[in-house]
Amino acid sequence: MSLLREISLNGGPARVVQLTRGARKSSLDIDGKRFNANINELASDGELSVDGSSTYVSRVVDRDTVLIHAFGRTWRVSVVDPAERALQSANQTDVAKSPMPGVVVSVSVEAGDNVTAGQPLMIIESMKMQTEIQASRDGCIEQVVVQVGETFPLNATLVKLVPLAAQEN
Amino acid sequence: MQRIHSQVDTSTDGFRENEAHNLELAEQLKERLHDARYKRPQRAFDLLAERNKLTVRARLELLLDPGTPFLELSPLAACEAYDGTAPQAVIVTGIGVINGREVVVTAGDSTIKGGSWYPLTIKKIIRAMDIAIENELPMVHLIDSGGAYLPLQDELYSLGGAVYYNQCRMSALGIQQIALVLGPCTAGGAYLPTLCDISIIVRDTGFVFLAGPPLVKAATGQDVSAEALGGADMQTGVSGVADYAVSNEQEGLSLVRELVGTWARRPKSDPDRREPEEPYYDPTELYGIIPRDTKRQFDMREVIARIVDGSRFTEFKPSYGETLVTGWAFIWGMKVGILGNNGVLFTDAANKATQFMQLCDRDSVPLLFLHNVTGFMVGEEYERGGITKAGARMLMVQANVTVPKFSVFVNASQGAGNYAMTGRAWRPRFLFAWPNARSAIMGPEQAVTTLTEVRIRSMRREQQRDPTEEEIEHIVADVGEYFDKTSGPYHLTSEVRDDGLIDMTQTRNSLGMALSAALNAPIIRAPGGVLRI
Repeated sequence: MSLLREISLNGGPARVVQLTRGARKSSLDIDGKRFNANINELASDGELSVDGSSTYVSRVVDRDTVLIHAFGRTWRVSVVDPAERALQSANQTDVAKSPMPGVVVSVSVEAGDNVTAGQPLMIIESMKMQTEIQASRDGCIEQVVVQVGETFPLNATLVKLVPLAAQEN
Repeated sequence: MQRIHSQVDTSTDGFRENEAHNLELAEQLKERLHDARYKRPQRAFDLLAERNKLTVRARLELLLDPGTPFLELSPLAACEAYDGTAPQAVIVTGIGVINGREVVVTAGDSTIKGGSWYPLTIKKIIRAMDIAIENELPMVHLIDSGGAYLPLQDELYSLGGAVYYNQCRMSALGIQQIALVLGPCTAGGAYLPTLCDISIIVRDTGFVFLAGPPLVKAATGQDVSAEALGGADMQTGVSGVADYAVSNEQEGLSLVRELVGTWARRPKSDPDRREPEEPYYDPTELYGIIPRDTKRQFDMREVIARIVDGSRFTEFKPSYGETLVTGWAFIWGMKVGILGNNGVLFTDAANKATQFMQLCDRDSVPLLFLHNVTGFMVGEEYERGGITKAGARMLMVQANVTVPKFSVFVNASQGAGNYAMTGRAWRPRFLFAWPNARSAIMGPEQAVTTLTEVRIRSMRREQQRDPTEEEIEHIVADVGEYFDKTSGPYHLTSEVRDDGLIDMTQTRNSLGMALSAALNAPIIRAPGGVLRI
């Protein structure tokens, strides 16, 4: 039986962990490096041995996080969900586009302003509804393309951020 | 399952201003509920005590299992009607638990106009019966009514017949009905207990007869006491019109509990269930999330995150038709498919909804609609793209799904969007509204523009002149006021157009009870494949 997961220890970077359990012997690969490991489970607690040194471990599950006591300290272990990670990094674009055709009600930034992700850029109105257009990432405003009172079609560019590539230079 | 990552910043001024606004609405709702339930003149309570009768709330407490929740339906019915003289429409209805069985209860309140039935009383009873029929729940009637409110007979007489008709149909459908007679049941009212499977009458205060002593005296000259004419002992020992006579209300309520306890417990339909989990995000944050301006948009995922188990939501088709959010979640451990508006309905959003509803229907997953919709997108481009066809498909599939549907008016529910999202006429099993919600054929501003235009044109045609400034102001005020009032939550709940206004933070609990009640009826899947449209 083998188990492959990406996990994070105490909020640190994700590590690829593969656990292969046999009847007598188990092995553990962390980021490609192999360790000989074994665990004798006693309900929620157990005895873990890794490459010869062994420790008594106990664990508590708190929603998505597992708290493990081992080797004299507590470790906060969380499983990294690749789909979730993809969702979080998606939509970080250089331009804010219109979700609907409409008209600009108010603008709260101008060219040269530094903005943070989620910061309101402008409010548009369409079909009796007002929508706040927010910055999808941290950055600097390059241009506010449409001004108060102007109309625009669906998917029009409303605000441009300085492109990520340009910013990094 | 993935957890929603909330983007809400609870430290902003906007959040605090929204919170203050929505907390005020919540406080107002709480006050109005309290007054409707408990505020009566002292003499009404004195009269009850004199006759050895209990208040409606005391009766319910004795009837229902201690410590179990009671899902009260339309508690603010008639709150804006009859000049406010008929709080709760003179009757309490709801879903409660008796000896472990979920039942629909109606309980007449004789502290208001002797418990007379107004047109909205009847509407409320019929709605409770619909809920019993659709969800296959037994019914318990605690009857304490002086009869129909005669000054409004024209509005209620014909409608009232449906109460008795429903009783006959419910009997045939296998829905058990039991009545406890706590006041006079005269004329048509006599049929309410008599059409039940079991009828119990309380001695000295409960009566069943086609005509009371004064009417008998007037019609035939006969002098007869109420007890001899339709009292508990005569109707149970001589005529057999009722089944049990009891000495007081406590005894009667205890007997109802005993009899309900003898009914077989039917198995519920079994949806996908898992261990319930509290939402990860605090539901009280909803007060700061829902904008104080109804026109302002917000992300429905933030609402979903504060209703569903663990704030976990597996989104379906997240990057297609983004003005509608679709996906699966659990509420109190019961699986639901959620459709929530994130803007106006476009063709792609409507198509996504249709596909998602077919999927859920095929998999026996109940549907939850979270309304914040002003309608379908308008304009030449969209008409050419056949948006009406997409809307028609959405309606066609939505109307014909076999899984239970639930709706919550979270904010706006306007135009055809209301229909597409399972508004009242589209038979959601339950429909709740938040105190900030608005629902009408169009928004007040659009109505003012449209109707003012119409009146100006007709004036030009008929009087060959333009209206004066003053006349225009008058028209605008007139139309605005009418639309503002009739689209408001208190008007809608007063007319029993929903099953109750609820505090935002109670949504999870109300939906949990509603889902649990709905699972009493089997989900029978209609054959058919899922179309990717």
